[in-house]
Amino acid sequence: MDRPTHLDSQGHAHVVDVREKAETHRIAVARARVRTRPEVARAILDGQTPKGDVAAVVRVAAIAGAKRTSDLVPLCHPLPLTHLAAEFAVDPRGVLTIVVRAECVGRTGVEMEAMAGASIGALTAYDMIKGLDREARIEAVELLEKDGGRSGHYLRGAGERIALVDRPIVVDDVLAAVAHPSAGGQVLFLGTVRDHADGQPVTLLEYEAYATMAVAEMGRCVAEVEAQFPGVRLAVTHRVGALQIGDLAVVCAASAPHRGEAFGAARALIDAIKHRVPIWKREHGPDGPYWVDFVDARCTGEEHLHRADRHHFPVGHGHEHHEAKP
Amino acid sequence: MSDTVKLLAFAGAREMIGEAELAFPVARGLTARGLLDAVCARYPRLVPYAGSIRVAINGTYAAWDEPVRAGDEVALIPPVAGG
Repeated sequence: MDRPTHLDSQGHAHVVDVREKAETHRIAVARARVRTRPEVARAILDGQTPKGDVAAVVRVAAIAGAKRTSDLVPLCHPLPLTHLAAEFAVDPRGVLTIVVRAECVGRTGVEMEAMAGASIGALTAYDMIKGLDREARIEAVELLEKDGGRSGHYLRGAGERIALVDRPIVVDDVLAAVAHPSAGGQVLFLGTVRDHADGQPVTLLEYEAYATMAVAEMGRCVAEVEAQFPGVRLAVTHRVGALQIGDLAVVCAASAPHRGEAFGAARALIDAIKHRVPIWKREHGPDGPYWVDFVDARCTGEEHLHRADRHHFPVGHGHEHHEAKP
Repeated sequence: MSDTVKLLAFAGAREMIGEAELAFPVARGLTARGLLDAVCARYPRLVPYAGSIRVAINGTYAAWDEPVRAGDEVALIPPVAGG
Protein backbone atom coordinates (compact mmCIF):
# COMPACT_ATOMS: atom_id res chain seq x y z
CA MET A 1 0.00 0.00 0.00
CA ASP A 2 1.17 3.52 -0.76
CA ARG A 3 2.19 5.39 2.32
CA PRO A 4 0.08 8.42 3.28
CA THR A 5 1.27 11.52 1.36
CA HIS A 6 1.87 13.52 4.52
CA LEU A 7 4.39 11.04 5.99
CA ASP A 8 7.95 10.87 4.71
CA SER A 9 9.95 7.64 4.20
CA GLN A 10 10.59 7.40 7.96
CA GLY A 11 6.92 7.87 8.72
CA HIS A 12 7.41 11.42 9.94
CA ALA A 13 4.98 14.14 9.07
CA HIS A 14 6.20 16.53 6.41
CA VAL A 15 4.86 19.17 4.09
CA VAL A 16 4.40 17.28 0.86
CA ASP A 17 6.46 18.03 -2.23
CA VAL A 18 4.16 19.64 -4.79
CA ARG A 19 6.82 20.55 -7.41
CA GLU A 20 5.19 18.20 -9.89
CA LYS A 21 1.69 19.59 -9.48
CA ALA A 22 0.44 22.12 -12.01
CA GLU A 23 0.20 25.77 -11.11
CA THR A 24 -3.44 26.68 -11.49
CA HIS A 25 -5.78 29.44 -10.41
CA ARG A 26 -7.25 28.16 -7.17
CA ILE A 27 -10.31 29.46 -5.37
CA ALA A 28 -11.85 28.50 -2.07
CA VAL A 29 -14.78 29.93 -0.14
CA ALA A 30 -15.46 29.01 3.47
CA ARG A 31 -18.08 30.04 5.96
CA ALA A 32 -18.35 30.17 9.73
CA ARG A 33 -21.40 30.98 11.78
CA VAL A 34 -21.75 32.42 15.25
CA ARG A 35 -25.06 31.90 16.94
CA THR A 36 -26.12 34.51 19.45
CA ARG A 37 -29.34 36.06 20.71
CA PRO A 38 -31.57 38.21 18.50
CA GLU A 39 -31.00 41.24 20.80
CA VAL A 40 -27.25 40.94 20.24
CA ALA A 41 -27.72 40.75 16.48
CA ARG A 42 -29.91 43.82 16.72
CA ALA A 43 -27.23 45.63 18.75
CA ILE A 44 -24.64 44.84 16.08
CA LEU A 45 -26.92 46.12 13.34
CA ASP A 46 -27.59 49.28 15.36
CA GLY A 47 -23.89 49.83 16.12
CA GLN A 48 -24.58 49.47 19.86
CA THR A 49 -21.89 46.94 20.79
CA PRO A 50 -19.35 47.69 23.55
CA LYS A 51 -16.26 47.12 21.41
CA GLY A 52 -17.35 49.12 18.39
CA ASP A 53 -17.86 48.17 14.76
CA VAL A 54 -18.11 44.38 14.77
CA ALA A 55 -18.29 43.99 11.00
CA ALA A 56 -15.14 46.00 10.28
CA VAL A 57 -13.07 44.25 12.94
CA VAL A 58 -14.28 40.79 11.96
CA ARG A 59 -13.49 41.35 8.28
CA VAL A 60 -9.97 42.53 9.03
CA ALA A 61 -9.42 39.65 11.47
CA ALA A 62 -10.62 37.09 8.93
CA ILE A 63 -8.20 38.38 6.33
CA ALA A 64 -5.32 38.49 8.80
CA GLY A 65 -6.18 34.98 9.97
CA ALA A 66 -6.21 33.58 6.47
CA LYS A 67 -2.70 34.97 5.88
CA ARG A 68 -1.36 33.15 8.94
CA THR A 69 -2.70 29.74 7.96
CA SER A 70 0.63 28.08 7.21
CA ASP A 71 1.99 29.26 10.59
CA LEU A 72 -0.96 27.76 12.44
CA VAL A 73 -1.72 24.53 10.60
CA PRO A 74 1.39 22.35 10.70
CA LEU A 75 1.36 20.66 7.30
CA CYS A 76 0.08 23.58 5.21
CA HIS A 77 2.27 25.15 2.55
CA PRO A 78 2.74 28.91 2.69
CA LEU A 79 0.83 30.17 -0.34
CA PRO A 80 1.26 33.31 -2.41
CA LEU A 81 -2.31 34.53 -2.08
CA THR A 82 -3.51 36.73 -4.91
CA HIS A 83 -6.85 37.67 -3.39
CA LEU A 84 -8.51 37.54 0.00
CA ALA A 85 -11.93 38.90 0.84
CA ALA A 86 -14.11 38.57 3.90
CA GLU A 87 -17.76 39.37 4.33
CA PHE A 88 -19.75 39.60 7.51
CA ALA A 89 -23.51 39.31 7.63
CA VAL A 90 -25.94 39.61 10.51
CA ASP A 91 -29.24 37.80 10.55
CA PRO A 92 -31.52 39.61 13.03
CA ARG A 93 -32.63 36.23 14.34
CA GLY A 94 -29.16 35.90 15.90
CA VAL A 95 -26.88 34.32 13.34
CA LEU A 96 -23.63 36.01 12.36
CA THR A 97 -22.04 34.70 9.19
CA ILE A 98 -18.44 35.14 8.10
CA VAL A 99 -17.58 34.18 4.52
CA VAL A 100 -13.98 34.21 3.35
CA ARG A 101 -12.85 33.86 -0.22
CA ALA A 102 -9.19 33.04 -0.91
CA GLU A 103 -7.46 32.80 -4.27
CA CYS A 104 -3.97 32.07 -5.44
CA VAL A 105 -2.11 30.84 -8.46
CA GLY A 106 -0.30 27.86 -7.08
CA ARG A 107 0.27 24.14 -6.77
CA THR A 108 -1.96 23.42 -3.83
CA GLY A 109 -5.43 24.41 -2.73
CA VAL A 110 -6.43 27.48 -0.74
CA GLU A 111 -9.25 25.93 1.25
CA MET A 112 -7.28 25.98 4.51
CA GLU A 113 -6.73 29.71 4.10
CA ALA A 114 -10.45 30.26 3.58
CA MET A 115 -11.29 27.98 6.54
CA ALA A 116 -8.69 29.64 8.81
CA GLY A 117 -9.95 33.08 7.85
CA ALA A 118 -13.55 32.12 8.59
CA SER A 119 -12.50 30.56 11.90
CA ILE A 120 -10.52 33.60 13.06
CA GLY A 121 -13.35 35.84 11.89
CA ALA A 122 -15.77 33.80 14.02
CA LEU A 123 -13.44 33.93 17.05
CA THR A 124 -13.17 37.68 16.62
CA ALA A 125 -16.94 38.03 16.33
CA TYR A 126 -17.22 36.15 19.63
CA ASP A 127 -14.63 38.46 21.19
CA MET A 128 -16.58 41.49 19.98
CA ILE A 129 -19.89 40.35 21.49
CA LYS A 130 -18.88 38.26 24.50
CA GLY A 131 -19.70 41.19 26.81
CA LEU A 132 -23.32 40.91 25.62
CA ASP A 133 -23.58 37.15 25.22
CA ARG A 134 -20.96 34.87 26.71
CA GLU A 135 -23.05 31.89 25.56
CA ALA A 136 -22.71 32.75 21.88
CA ARG A 137 -21.23 29.80 20.06
CA ILE A 138 -19.22 29.23 16.95
CA GLU A 139 -20.72 26.60 14.74
CA ALA A 140 -20.47 25.14 11.27
CA VAL A 141 -17.07 26.19 9.96
CA GLU A 142 -17.31 24.72 6.49
CA LEU A 143 -15.99 24.83 2.97
CA LEU A 144 -18.60 26.20 0.58
CA GLU A 145 -16.74 26.10 -2.69
CA LYS A 146 -13.39 25.01 -4.11
CA ASP A 147 -12.06 25.19 -7.63
CA GLY A 148 -8.83 24.87 -9.54
CA GLY A 149 -7.49 21.58 -8.26
CA ARG A 150 -7.51 18.02 -9.56
CA SER A 151 -10.87 17.35 -7.94
CA GLY A 152 -12.55 19.98 -10.12
CA HIS A 153 -15.28 22.32 -8.99
CA TYR A 154 -16.90 21.62 -5.67
CA LEU A 155 -19.96 23.47 -4.45
CA ARG A 156 -21.27 22.54 -1.05
CA GLY A 157 -24.87 21.52 -0.87
CA ALA A 158 -25.36 21.54 -4.63
CA GLY A 159 -27.29 18.34 -4.08
CA GLU A 160 -29.20 19.73 -1.12
CA ARG A 161 -30.66 22.62 -3.03
CA ILE A 162 -33.24 20.19 -4.34
CA ALA A 163 -35.12 17.98 -1.96
CA LEU A 164 -38.19 15.80 -1.73
CA VAL A 165 -39.18 15.13 1.87
CA ASP A 166 -41.90 13.24 3.69
CA ARG A 167 -41.82 15.43 6.79
CA PRO A 168 -42.53 19.11 7.45
CA ILE A 169 -40.40 21.47 5.36
CA VAL A 170 -37.96 23.64 7.27
CA VAL A 171 -38.12 27.00 5.49
CA ASP A 172 -34.79 28.15 6.94
CA ASP A 173 -33.02 25.20 5.32
CA VAL A 174 -34.34 26.12 1.88
CA LEU A 175 -33.40 29.76 2.40
CA ALA A 176 -29.93 28.81 3.65
CA ALA A 177 -29.33 26.83 0.48
CA VAL A 178 -29.47 30.03 -1.61
CA ALA A 179 -27.70 32.33 0.86
CA HIS A 180 -24.81 34.03 -0.85
CA PRO A 181 -22.73 37.07 0.05
CA SER A 182 -23.42 38.72 -3.29
CA ALA A 183 -27.17 38.32 -2.91
CA GLY A 184 -28.96 41.60 -2.38
CA GLY A 185 -32.35 39.99 -2.14
CA GLN A 186 -33.97 36.67 -1.39
CA VAL A 187 -37.46 35.66 -2.40
CA LEU A 188 -39.39 32.79 -0.86
CA PHE A 189 -42.45 31.13 -2.33
CA LEU A 190 -44.41 29.04 0.14
CA GLY A 191 -47.02 26.75 -1.36
CA THR A 192 -49.56 25.74 1.28
CA VAL A 193 -52.54 23.42 1.37
CA ARG A 194 -55.69 25.51 1.15
CA ASP A 195 -59.12 24.55 2.36
CA HIS A 196 -60.91 24.70 -0.96
CA ALA A 197 -60.52 23.85 -4.64
CA ASP A 198 -62.87 25.04 -7.35
CA GLY A 199 -65.37 26.19 -4.77
CA GLN A 200 -65.44 22.89 -2.88
CA PRO A 201 -64.01 22.34 0.59
CA VAL A 202 -60.84 20.30 0.92
CA THR A 203 -59.99 18.63 4.19
CA LEU A 204 -56.82 16.70 3.38
CA LEU A 205 -54.32 16.37 0.57
CA GLU A 206 -52.13 13.43 -0.24
CA TYR A 207 -49.08 14.04 -2.39
CA GLU A 208 -47.46 11.23 -4.32
CA ALA A 209 -44.25 11.50 -6.34
CA TYR A 210 -42.20 9.53 -8.81
CA ALA A 211 -39.37 10.31 -6.45
CA THR A 212 -36.25 9.77 -8.55
CA MET A 213 -37.65 11.60 -11.54
CA ALA A 214 -39.21 14.34 -9.38
CA VAL A 215 -35.81 15.16 -7.90
CA ALA A 216 -34.17 15.05 -11.34
CA GLU A 217 -36.90 17.18 -12.91
CA MET A 218 -36.72 19.76 -10.10
CA GLY A 219 -32.97 19.86 -10.75
CA ARG A 220 -33.59 20.50 -14.45
CA CYS A 221 -36.09 23.26 -13.61
CA VAL A 222 -33.54 24.89 -11.28
CA ALA A 223 -30.75 24.67 -13.87
CA GLU A 224 -32.91 26.12 -16.64
CA VAL A 225 -34.22 29.02 -14.57
CA GLU A 226 -30.72 29.79 -13.24
CA ALA A 227 -29.48 29.91 -16.82
CA GLN A 228 -32.30 32.29 -17.69
CA PHE A 229 -31.55 34.65 -14.77
CA PRO A 230 -27.76 35.08 -14.42
CA GLY A 231 -26.56 35.55 -10.85
CA VAL A 232 -29.57 33.81 -9.35
CA ARG A 233 -29.34 30.84 -6.98
CA LEU A 234 -32.38 28.67 -6.50
CA ALA A 235 -33.50 25.96 -4.12
CA VAL A 236 -36.67 23.96 -3.81
CA THR A 237 -38.07 21.44 -1.37
CA HIS A 238 -41.31 19.59 -2.03
CA ARG A 239 -43.14 17.52 0.51
CA VAL A 240 -45.03 14.29 -0.13
CA GLY A 241 -47.42 12.25 2.00
CA ALA A 242 -50.57 13.35 3.82
CA LEU A 243 -50.78 17.09 4.42
CA GLN A 244 -53.31 19.10 6.41
CA ILE A 245 -54.77 22.51 5.61
CA GLY A 246 -52.06 25.14 6.04
CA ASP A 247 -49.13 22.73 5.74
CA LEU A 248 -46.30 23.71 3.45
CA ALA A 249 -46.33 21.56 0.32
CA VAL A 250 -43.51 23.28 -1.54
CA VAL A 251 -40.94 25.96 -0.75
CA CYS A 252 -38.93 27.72 -3.44
CA ALA A 253 -36.14 30.16 -2.62
CA ALA A 254 -34.28 32.49 -4.94
CA SER A 255 -31.39 34.78 -4.19
CA ALA A 256 -30.04 37.35 -6.62
CA PRO A 257 -27.99 40.51 -6.67
CA HIS A 258 -31.20 42.50 -7.15
CA ARG A 259 -34.83 41.90 -6.25
CA GLY A 260 -36.12 41.90 -9.80
CA GLU A 261 -34.25 38.75 -10.77
CA ALA A 262 -35.04 37.13 -7.43
CA PHE A 263 -38.80 37.63 -7.89
CA GLY A 264 -38.67 36.66 -11.55
CA ALA A 265 -36.67 33.50 -10.95
CA ALA A 266 -38.77 32.39 -7.99
CA ARG A 267 -41.92 32.78 -10.11
CA ALA A 268 -40.40 30.96 -13.07
CA LEU A 269 -39.25 28.13 -10.81
CA ILE A 270 -42.59 27.46 -9.15
CA ASP A 271 -44.37 27.67 -12.51
CA ALA A 272 -41.96 25.13 -14.03
CA ILE A 273 -42.31 22.83 -11.04
CA LYS A 274 -46.09 22.86 -11.16
CA HIS A 275 -46.02 22.22 -14.87
CA ARG A 276 -43.44 19.44 -15.08
CA VAL A 277 -42.45 17.71 -11.88
CA PRO A 278 -44.07 14.28 -11.52
CA ILE A 279 -45.94 14.88 -8.29
CA TRP A 280 -49.65 14.27 -7.88
CA LYS A 281 -52.18 15.27 -5.32
CA ARG A 282 -55.28 13.54 -4.17
CA GLU A 283 -57.74 15.94 -2.64
CA HIS A 284 -60.28 14.80 -0.11
CA GLY A 285 -63.48 16.79 -0.50
CA PRO A 286 -67.15 16.29 0.33
CA ASP A 287 -67.59 13.68 -2.43
CA GLY A 288 -64.54 11.68 -1.40
CA PRO A 289 -61.00 11.74 -2.71
CA TYR A 290 -59.98 12.40 -6.32
CA TRP A 291 -56.70 12.90 -8.16
CA VAL A 292 -56.41 16.55 -9.13
CA ASP A 293 -56.57 17.15 -12.90
CA PHE A 294 -57.06 13.46 -13.69
CA VAL A 295 -60.16 13.82 -15.79
CA ASP A 296 -62.07 11.18 -17.69
CA ALA A 297 -62.15 12.23 -21.35
CA ARG A 298 -65.71 10.94 -21.65
CA CYS A 299 -66.77 13.73 -19.32
CA THR A 300 -64.96 16.62 -20.99
CA GLY A 301 -67.33 17.75 -23.70
CA GLU A 302 -67.03 21.28 -25.07
CA GLU A 303 -69.12 22.70 -22.26
CA HIS A 304 -67.07 20.93 -19.58
CA LEU A 305 -63.49 21.78 -20.44
CA HIS A 306 -62.99 23.59 -17.18
CA ARG A 307 -61.05 21.49 -14.70
CA ALA A 308 -63.76 22.12 -12.13
CA ASP A 309 -66.08 19.90 -14.09
CA ARG A 310 -65.22 16.92 -11.94
CA HIS A 311 -67.31 18.55 -9.25
CA HIS A 312 -70.26 19.31 -11.51
CA PHE A 313 -71.24 15.75 -12.17
CA PRO A 314 -73.35 13.84 -9.75
CA VAL A 315 -71.76 11.07 -7.74
CA GLY A 316 -71.73 7.83 -9.68
CA HIS A 317 -71.18 9.39 -13.08
CA GLY A 318 -67.70 8.03 -13.43
CA HIS A 319 -65.90 10.88 -11.76
CA GLU A 320 -64.88 9.09 -8.64
CA HIS A 321 -61.84 7.84 -10.45
CA HIS A 322 -60.38 6.38 -7.33
CA GLU A 323 -63.21 3.90 -7.10
CA ALA A 324 -64.31 3.52 -10.71
CA LYS A 325 -64.91 -0.06 -11.73
CA PRO A 326 -64.63 -1.40 -15.23
CA MET B 1 -39.52 -15.16 -22.48
CA SER B 2 -40.15 -11.86 -24.17
CA ASP B 3 -38.21 -8.73 -23.35
CA THR B 4 -39.87 -6.42 -20.90
CA VAL B 5 -39.67 -2.92 -19.49
CA LYS B 6 -40.26 -1.99 -15.89
CA LEU B 7 -43.56 -0.14 -16.16
CA LEU B 8 -44.41 2.28 -13.36
CA ALA B 9 -47.86 3.78 -12.98
CA PHE B 10 -48.61 6.66 -10.66
CA ALA B 11 -51.63 8.30 -9.04
CA GLY B 12 -54.81 7.88 -11.10
CA ALA B 13 -53.04 5.80 -13.74
CA ARG B 14 -51.96 3.35 -11.06
CA GLU B 15 -55.53 3.03 -9.84
CA MET B 16 -56.84 2.35 -13.35
CA ILE B 17 -54.22 -0.35 -13.91
CA GLY B 18 -54.38 -1.73 -10.41
CA GLU B 19 -50.61 -2.09 -10.12
CA ALA B 20 -47.86 0.38 -9.27
CA GLU B 21 -45.16 -1.57 -11.04
CA LEU B 22 -45.12 -4.45 -13.49
CA ALA B 23 -42.96 -6.05 -16.15
CA PHE B 24 -44.54 -5.14 -19.48
CA PRO B 25 -43.52 -6.91 -22.68
CA VAL B 26 -42.11 -4.77 -25.47
CA ALA B 27 -41.51 -5.69 -29.08
CA ARG B 28 -38.48 -4.44 -30.95
CA GLY B 29 -39.04 -0.99 -32.47
CA LEU B 30 -41.80 -0.04 -30.03
CA THR B 31 -42.16 3.71 -29.41
CA ALA B 32 -43.44 5.55 -26.35
CA ARG B 33 -46.75 6.05 -28.19
CA GLY B 34 -46.90 2.38 -29.08
CA LEU B 35 -46.24 1.39 -25.50
CA LEU B 36 -49.04 3.60 -24.15
CA ASP B 37 -51.40 2.11 -26.76
CA ALA B 38 -50.36 -1.40 -25.75
CA VAL B 39 -50.90 -0.63 -22.06
CA CYS B 40 -54.34 0.80 -22.85
CA ALA B 41 -55.20 -2.32 -24.85
CA ARG B 42 -54.36 -4.48 -21.87
CA TYR B 43 -55.95 -2.14 -19.30
CA PRO B 44 -59.08 -0.65 -20.96
CA ARG B 45 -59.95 1.36 -17.86
CA LEU B 46 -57.02 3.61 -18.73
CA VAL B 47 -58.39 4.47 -22.18
CA PRO B 48 -60.55 7.47 -21.19
CA TYR B 49 -57.51 9.09 -19.57
CA ALA B 50 -54.91 8.18 -22.16
CA GLY B 51 -55.07 11.59 -23.86
CA SER B 52 -53.69 13.28 -20.77
CA ILE B 53 -50.95 10.77 -19.94
CA ARG B 54 -47.30 11.44 -20.74
CA VAL B 55 -44.59 8.82 -20.86
CA ALA B 56 -41.17 9.08 -19.21
CA ILE B 57 -38.32 6.79 -20.13
CA ASN B 58 -35.59 6.31 -17.55
CA GLY B 59 -36.65 9.37 -15.60
CA THR B 60 -37.04 11.85 -18.46
CA TYR B 61 -40.12 12.84 -20.43
CA ALA B 62 -40.06 11.02 -23.76
CA ALA B 63 -41.15 12.23 -27.18
CA TRP B 64 -43.93 10.02 -28.61
CA ASP B 65 -41.67 8.60 -31.29
CA GLU B 66 -38.87 7.80 -28.87
CA PRO B 67 -37.98 4.10 -28.86
CA VAL B 68 -38.62 1.97 -25.79
CA ARG B 69 -36.03 -0.73 -25.17
CA ALA B 70 -36.13 -3.84 -23.05
CA GLY B 71 -34.81 -3.06 -19.60
CA ASP B 72 -35.95 0.59 -19.64
CA GLU B 73 -37.87 2.06 -16.75
CA VAL B 74 -40.99 3.49 -18.33
CA ALA B 75 -43.43 5.58 -16.31
CA LEU B 76 -46.98 6.63 -17.07
CA ILE B 77 -47.29 10.23 -15.94
CA PRO B 78 -50.86 11.47 -15.52
CA PRO B 79 -51.36 15.27 -15.33
CA VAL B 80 -49.00 16.50 -12.64
CA ALA B 81 -50.30 18.59 -9.76
CA GLY B 82 -47.38 19.43 -7.52
CA GLY B 83 -47.00 22.67 -5.67
